[in-house]
Amino acid sequence: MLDDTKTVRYLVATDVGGTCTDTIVFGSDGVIHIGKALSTPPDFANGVMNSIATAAEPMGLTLEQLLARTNLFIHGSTVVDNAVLTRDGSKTGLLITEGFEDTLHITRGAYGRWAGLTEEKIKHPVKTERAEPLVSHDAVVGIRERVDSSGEVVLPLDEAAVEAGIRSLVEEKGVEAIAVALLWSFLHPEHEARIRKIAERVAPGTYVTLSSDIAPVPGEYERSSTAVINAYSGKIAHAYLTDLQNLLGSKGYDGQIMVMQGYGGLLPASEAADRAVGLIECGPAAGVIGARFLGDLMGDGDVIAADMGGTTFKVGVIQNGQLEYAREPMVDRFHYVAPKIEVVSIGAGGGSIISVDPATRLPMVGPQSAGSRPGPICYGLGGEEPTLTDVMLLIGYMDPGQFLRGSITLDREKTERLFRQKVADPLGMSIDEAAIGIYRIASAQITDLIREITVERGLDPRDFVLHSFGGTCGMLAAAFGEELSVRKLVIPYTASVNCAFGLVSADIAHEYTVTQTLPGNATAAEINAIFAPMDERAHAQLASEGVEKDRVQLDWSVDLRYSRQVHQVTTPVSAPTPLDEVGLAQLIDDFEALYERKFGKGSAFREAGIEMTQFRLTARGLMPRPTLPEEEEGPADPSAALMGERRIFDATSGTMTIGQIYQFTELKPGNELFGPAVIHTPITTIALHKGHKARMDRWRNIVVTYEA
Amino acid sequence: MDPMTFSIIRHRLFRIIDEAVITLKHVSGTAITNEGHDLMVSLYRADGTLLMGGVGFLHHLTSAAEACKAVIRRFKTDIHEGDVFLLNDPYTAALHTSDVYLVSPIHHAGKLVAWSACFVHVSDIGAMNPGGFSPDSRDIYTEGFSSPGIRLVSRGEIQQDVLDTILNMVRSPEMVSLDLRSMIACNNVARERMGALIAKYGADLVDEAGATLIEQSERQFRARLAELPDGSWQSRQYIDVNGETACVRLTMTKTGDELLFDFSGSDPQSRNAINCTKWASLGGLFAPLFPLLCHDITWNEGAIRPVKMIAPEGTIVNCIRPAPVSVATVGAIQSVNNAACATIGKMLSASEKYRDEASAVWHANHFAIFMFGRNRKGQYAIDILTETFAGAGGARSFGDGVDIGGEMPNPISRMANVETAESAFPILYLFRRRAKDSGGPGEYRGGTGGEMAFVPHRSLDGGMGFVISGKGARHPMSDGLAGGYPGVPNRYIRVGKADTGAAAHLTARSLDDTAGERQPISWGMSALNDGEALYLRWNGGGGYGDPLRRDPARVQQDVETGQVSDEAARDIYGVIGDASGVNLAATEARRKELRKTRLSNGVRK
Amino acid sequence: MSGKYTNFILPTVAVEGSRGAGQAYCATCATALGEPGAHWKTGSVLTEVALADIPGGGYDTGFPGVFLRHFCCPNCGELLDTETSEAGEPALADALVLS
Repeated sequence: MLDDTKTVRYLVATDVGGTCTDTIVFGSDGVIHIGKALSTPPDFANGVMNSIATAAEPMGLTLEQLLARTNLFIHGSTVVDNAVLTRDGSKTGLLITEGFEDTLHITRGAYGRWAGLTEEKIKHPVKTERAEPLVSHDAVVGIRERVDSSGEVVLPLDEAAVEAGIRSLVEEKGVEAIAVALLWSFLHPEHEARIRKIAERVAPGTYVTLSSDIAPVPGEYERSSTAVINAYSGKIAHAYLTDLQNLLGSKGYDGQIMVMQGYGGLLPASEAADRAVGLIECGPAAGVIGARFLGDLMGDGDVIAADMGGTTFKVGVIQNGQLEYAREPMVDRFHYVAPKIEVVSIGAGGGSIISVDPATRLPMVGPQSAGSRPGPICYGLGGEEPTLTDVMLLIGYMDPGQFLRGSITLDREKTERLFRQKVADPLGMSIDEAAIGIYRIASAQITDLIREITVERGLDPRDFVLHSFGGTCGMLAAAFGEELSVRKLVIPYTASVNCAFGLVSADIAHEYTVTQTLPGNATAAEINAIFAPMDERAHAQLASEGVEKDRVQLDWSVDLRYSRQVHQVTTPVSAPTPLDEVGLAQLIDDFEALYERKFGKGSAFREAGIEMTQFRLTARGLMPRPTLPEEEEGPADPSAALMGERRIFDATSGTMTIGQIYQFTELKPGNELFGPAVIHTPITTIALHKGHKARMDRWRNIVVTYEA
Repeated sequence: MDPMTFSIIRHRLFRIIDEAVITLKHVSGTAITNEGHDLMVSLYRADGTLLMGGVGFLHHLTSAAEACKAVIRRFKTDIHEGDVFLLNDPYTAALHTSDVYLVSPIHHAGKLVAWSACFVHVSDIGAMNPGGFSPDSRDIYTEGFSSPGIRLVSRGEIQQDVLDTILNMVRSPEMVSLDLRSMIACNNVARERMGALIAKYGADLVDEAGATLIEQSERQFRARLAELPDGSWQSRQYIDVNGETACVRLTMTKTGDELLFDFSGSDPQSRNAINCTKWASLGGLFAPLFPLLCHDITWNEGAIRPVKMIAPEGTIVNCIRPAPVSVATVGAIQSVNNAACATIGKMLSASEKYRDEASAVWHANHFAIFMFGRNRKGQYAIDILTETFAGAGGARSFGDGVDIGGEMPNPISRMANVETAESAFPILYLFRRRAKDSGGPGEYRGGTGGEMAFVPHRSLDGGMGFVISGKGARHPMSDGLAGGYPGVPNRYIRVGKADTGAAAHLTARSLDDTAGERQPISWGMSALNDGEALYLRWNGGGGYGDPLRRDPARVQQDVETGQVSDEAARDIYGVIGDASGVNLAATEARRKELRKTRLSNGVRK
Repeated sequence: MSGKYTNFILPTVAVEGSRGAGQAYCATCATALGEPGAHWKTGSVLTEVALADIPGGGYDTGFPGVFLRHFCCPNCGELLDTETSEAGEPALADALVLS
C-alpha cells in the first residue's frame, strides 16, 4: 500500500472552527480525503493534529507519513476570535491624541450599546450594556499632538510625553502590548511611526500596533478599536502560528504554512502573525470562497451560501463571482475596520429551543439554544427542551438508527413525550401539526432573513443559486429555497468540510489602501500616481514570497461616493491599469451603475458631484486550483440507493406523507430522484418536497431544481 | 387563525419595515438619517390605526397614525393606488414642520387595505432659521412650509408642480429632494412587500392577523398593567429657554389595567418654539412607554388602547395655533418623554416583580445645534452636531446607567466620529470625552454625559454660523429615582478670542484651560468666528438610590477614571480614599456624619 | 430594603393599611412617615440645596433659584427621594391607591 502512495503528493488544508476542526486532503492522484476532529481551545494546535490524523487514517497513512508527503499546508483558525471572546489577550495600553482618551470607551455614543444585539434586545434598552473595552481606562495615555483633516500638523508630537507614557504603561501598568491611534494618522502617519521608534527604544519587546498600519482609513473610533484588537491578540496569534509551525515540523512537514484572512486571501504565516485582526472570521470567509469556487466550476456566478449547524446560521452572498466586504465588522461586540468578507450570522440552528410564549401562546423558535450540551432531546445527552433538531426527527427527516453513521441512537419516545408536553399540548395541537408548524415557521424566518440580506445589497434572490452547508441546513434548504424562488439548490459533496475546502481554493492576497480625497474630475495620471507605489510594494512583497511574476495579479478598486451622501461604493477598476482617460471614464460609469443598483433608482445625488475617497489594491499570487474528481454521469435510476420508505413531512402538500429514503453514499452521478423524499448524507439530511427534483452531478453534488 | 401562519405573518410584517428602513437609508444617504437614525417607518391598518411600529424615533409612531387618519378624512374616496401624501403640519399630526411624513395607501384588488408611513428630518424646511429648528420664530407662519395633507405622488406619478413648489421654499433643495425621494422609495418597498404578503396569504387573512396582533398586544399590556400597583406618580420638568421658564407637570395614574397621563397644571403655551401639539404629547409619552412597558409586546394600536391622556388646551403640551413649535422635539416633547420615563420608572420601581425594569431618566436634553455656512469646498452646508444623539443612560435598580449610552426614544442612535465632523465643517475639536460628575449620583450612578469643544479651522469665511435650541442649561432634567440625584444640566459656552492670539485655544483640554471671555449661549442664531471656541457639556443620566449606599470601591474607581470628583466622592457619596484605595473606617464615619447632617440641616415637616 | 412590606410607593417608601388611611414607612428602618392618610413627604425631613451648593460644582448653572430637594427618613437619614424644583413649588405627591 505504501508503495502505491509513494509518488503521491498532498495538499492539506485544515480549518479550526468553534466546534470542529476540519481537514481536506487533495492528493496528486485526484483523490479527496476528509478529516474531522473536535476543536481544542485554547490549544487549538492539538485539534489540528487530530483532524489531520483522522484524514490520514483511512488513507492508510500515519500523520507523519502524510505530512512528510505534503507540499503545502493551508490553515484557517478561530484563535483570534477566541482570544477576544474569552478576554484572553495581552494586557494592552493605548496611546491616543490628547483630549480624546475616551474614544474607545464611548463607542460613538449608544452605538457600542446596541450594535450586535438582536432587535428584541434593542427594544429593551433597560437591559443593555456596553462591553468593557479591551483596554482599561488607566492604560490609556493621551499624547499632545494634532493633525487636521488636510493632514497638516497643528501641534507637533510631544516626544517626551510619548516616552513617559510608554514607560508608565510598561513599567507601572504591566502592559505587554501597545496600540497607537492618533487623529488623522491615516493622512499623516509620521507621528505614529515616530512613536513606534520611541517604543522600540524605551520598551523593546513590547508588541506595538499602529492604527495607520493596520487600518489606514478615516473614523477614529473604528481605527482605534482595530489597533487595540490587533495589539491585544497579536502575541497570541504569533505564539499560535509559531507553535503550529514547530509542531508540524516535528511531525515531518517542512514547508510553509499559508494562513487564511478574513478577506478571503492567504498570507504566509510569518506575515499573518502581525495582522491578528486579519484572522478574525477567516473560517466563514473561507466557506464563501469555497462556494465561489464551486459556483465557478458549475457555471454559477451568483450564489447565496447558507450554512446552518447546531447553533448558528450564516449567509454569504457572491454576486457575479464578486464577494462583498462587511461594512461594519465586529468581533464579539467590538468594531474593527479591515477588509472582511461579509458573512451574516445569527443565533439559529438545530439546537434552537422551541417554546410556547406564555403570554401570546405563540410558538417560538429560539433565541435560546441547547447547543451541543445538553443538546436536543433526541440525542439522549440530557437535553429536556425541544429543539429544531427534535422537530426534524418528529417529521421523519432523521433516521433514529442512522444518525452520524449510527454513533448515536435517537430517542424518539422521549422526544415525543417532551414535545407534546412543552409544545403540542400548550398549542392545543397534535404532535404532527405542531411539528409541521414549527418547520414552516423556521423556513419562513430564514426566507425573511435571506431576503433582507439580499435586499440590503440591492439584489434579487431569484437570480441566485443557493448552496447549503451544515447539518441542519439540508433539511430546510429545499423549502426556503423554493419560497425564495432561487434558480436551484446545491448541496455540495464537500459540504461537511466546506471551510477547509475554501482554504484550498484561495489565492495569496495582500490588501493595500490609500485614503485620499480626489474630485470626480481628477485625471488618470493623478490616480495612477496613487497606485504606482502600492503596485511596486505589492510586486516586491509577492516576489519575496516566491510568487512567479506571471502568477501575480493586481486588481485596483476605488471607493467613490456622491459628495454630501454617506454611502461609499468600492468600484473595481475594469479597464487595464495604469488607467488612461477612457478607463477612468469607465470607472465613473461603473460607479454610477453600481450605486444605483445597490441603493435604488433615483438614489444618486449627481448634482453634488462625485468624490474618490479610497484607493485599494488587491495583489494576488495565484495558487494552483485543485482539480475536483469528476465521474461520468450514468443512468437516472436511483433505486440502488433506495433504503426504503418512511412517513415524512411534505411542505408542498403541507401534510405527513410516505416518502422515499435514499442513501447519499450509494447514489451515482446522473441519478435523479423526486420529492417527497429524503437523502441521508453522512452529516445531514436533504429533505425534498413534492415538485422538487434532485440530481447527483459529476462532482457528486446534489442539485435540486423546482418544477416550473 | 392557526398560530403558525400567524407567526409567519407577524415576522414578515417586522421584516417589511426593516426592508423599508434599509431603503430609506440607502436612498437618502444623509448623515442625520444614516448616523442619527432620525427616521421612522411603520405600517398602519386601513383605518390608519397602528399595525406595526418600527425601531426609529418612537414618538412618531402614534403621530404618523394620526397623519394617516388626517389624510383619510381630507381625501375620503379620492385615495388611489400609487398615491403618496405629504403631511407636516403640526396642528394636524406632525411633531414639527421639518419632520415630514409621507404616507402611502396600500391597495389590494382595488381596495384600500393598509398604509405605510415614514418620516425623516429633512435638511431644511424654509423656516426663519436654517435646519428646521427655528428658535427665532414666534409663530407657525415663520416655521417654513407646512401642509395638512397634499398629494405628492398621484397613481405612481410624481406631481412635479407640487414638488417644485416645496423645493422652491427650502434652503437646500437638492438635499430635501433627496430626502423626499428616499421616503417615496421607502413607501414603495413597503407597499410592494405588503402586496406580496397579501398575494400569498390573502387580504382577509393578513387583516385578521393584524387585528389579532392588536388584540394580543392589548391583552398582554393590560395583563402587565394589572400586575403593577395602583397609584399615581408625578413628575415636573422645567424648560428654560431664552430667559423664560415653562413647566410640564404630569400626574400618571394607574388603575387596574389602565394608565392615565394627566398634564393638567402644565404652563400656558410659550412665545418660544418649544411648545407642542397634543398629537406630539401623545407620541412623546409613548416613546419611553414602548421600551419600558412593552419591550416584549408588539408596538401597535393594542398597546395604545389602555392609555389615556389629558392635555389641557392652550398649554405648552397642547398649544393652540399659531403658537410656534419648531423646537418641540427637543422642547416640550422631550420633556414629556422625560416626565413619562420618570413616572413609569417610579411605578415599575414600586413593584418588586418589575423593579429591575425601572430606570431613572435617560439623556433628558438634546442640545440641537445646527452648523451652517460654507464648507471647505465652498458649498453651503447645514447639518446637526450628532453629539446630541450621544446621550447618557439612566441608572437602574441593579446597575449604573450606560455612560454616553444614548436615549430612550431613539434606541439605535449613534454619534459621528470627530474625523467625520471635521471633514464636514471647517472646525477642529479640542477634546471630546465623558464629563466628570455629570452622571446623577446614586447607589447606582447615572451614565455620564459628555463634554467637547471646537474652534473654527481653515474656514473660508472666518468662521461658521450655528443655530442652537438648547434647554436644560438651568435645570437638571434627567431625574433620579428612589433617592438618586438627577444628571447635571447642559452647558453651552462660547469662549471669546484670547488675548494671546487666535491659536491660544488649540492646546486647551478643558473649559478651564481656555482663556477668553465666556458667554453662555443656548438659544438662537450665533456666529463662531476664528479665534473663538464653542464648549458644550451634555447632561448625564439620573441616579438610582441613596448615593450613601454606593459601593465605596465603585466610587473610588469612578474617581480614578475621572467620572467623579474628589469633592463629590467625599461630600455626596461620603467616600474617603486616596491613591491606595478606600479608607473604609473613614468612609463609614463620613457617611454617618452626612446622614446626621441631613437630619440636622433639614426641615422636619 | 424590602422583604418586610408588600406595598411600595417607591422602593424606599412602603405603605400599609387601606384606602384613605394608608400609613407610609421608611422601607429601610420601618419608621412611620407622617400620619396615616397623610402624604409621606409630610413625615420626612426636607433639605433644599441650591444647585450651586451641590458638591463637585457640576450642577452650578450660574443661575440662582433652582434647588435639589432631598427628602430623608427622620430616623435613619436614608435619602428617600429627590426633586428638582424652583422655590415655592409644591412637592410632587406620589401615592398608592390601596384597596
